[in-house]
Amino acid sequence: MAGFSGNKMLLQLPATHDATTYVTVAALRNTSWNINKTSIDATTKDGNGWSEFVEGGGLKTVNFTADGVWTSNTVGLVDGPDADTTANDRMGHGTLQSAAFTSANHYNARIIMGDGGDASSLTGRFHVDSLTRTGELNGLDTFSVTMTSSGTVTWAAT
Amino acid sequence: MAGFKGNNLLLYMATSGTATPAAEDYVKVAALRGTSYTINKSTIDANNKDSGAWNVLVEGGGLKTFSITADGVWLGNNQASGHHGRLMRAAGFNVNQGALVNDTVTTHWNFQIVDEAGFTLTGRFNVDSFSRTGELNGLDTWTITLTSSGTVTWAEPVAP
Repeated sequence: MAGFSGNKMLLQLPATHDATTYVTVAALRNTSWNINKTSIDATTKDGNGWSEFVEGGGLKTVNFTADGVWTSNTVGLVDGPDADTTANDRMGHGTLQSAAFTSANHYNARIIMGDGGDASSLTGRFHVDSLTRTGELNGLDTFSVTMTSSGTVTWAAT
Repeated sequence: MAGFKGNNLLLYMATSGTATPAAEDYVKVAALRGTSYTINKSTIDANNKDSGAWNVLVEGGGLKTFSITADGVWLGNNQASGHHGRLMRAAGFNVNQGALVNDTVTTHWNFQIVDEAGFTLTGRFNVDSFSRTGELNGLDTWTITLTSSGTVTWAEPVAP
């Protein structure tokens, strides 16, 4: 087993915040996620000098981060690499912009990863912590987005 | 002795979330790249006007915490012990895929560091953070950060 290509890890969004048809964000470069689990300190004088934490305590939070090339202001679907195939449609970057601009709601989001029998996804409801867009001198117009989960995040086979 | 190889400093995990796994119930985590541990021992300042110009700390004071970080190549969702699906379980995902052993879901999990000489460091850990990254034209990789809860035991190799 030689591992999987990082190109298979993709951030997906629905066209509206509460829809559940997830489409890959256009022109991604890097995608990653992490889960953080906090601890509740339970150290006492009986612990013999070792720190101790409550079993079953703490809080889980998932973060999504992704970056890529800014290719469109469209909110909703744009043509993907194969313009003739709707299956290859991508989510336009206007969707990210509107998810970042709204003060009304969080956004459903998903990361898909792996391949074949080892394909899986993480799905949940996310707050857009930040959306950055950068235009460098003689460089590309790029974006990066970071999101934090609200509520349960589900890991499932896709 | 020319030193130990970094490739032989390995992370093992318990086959289930139980609080008291047997010595043989640890399995090497698959496809590791980097493995490291740190023991932090805090101090209690005891400086006073009689201690002169030198820093004084309480003998036998302070708190010990053991941290582990490891990273490697993601090989798949397999939930057998030592495979990466099981790391997801230790990280706090309540998952039920495939032929999963239905062990107790706990927040803490037993892990072990083993070195080239076979010495072990064993304890119970919170998974502070688990990340997975897919870079453009790169590999799908993961990293894990663990912090101990309670005693961590340093032991000599068990005779075969």
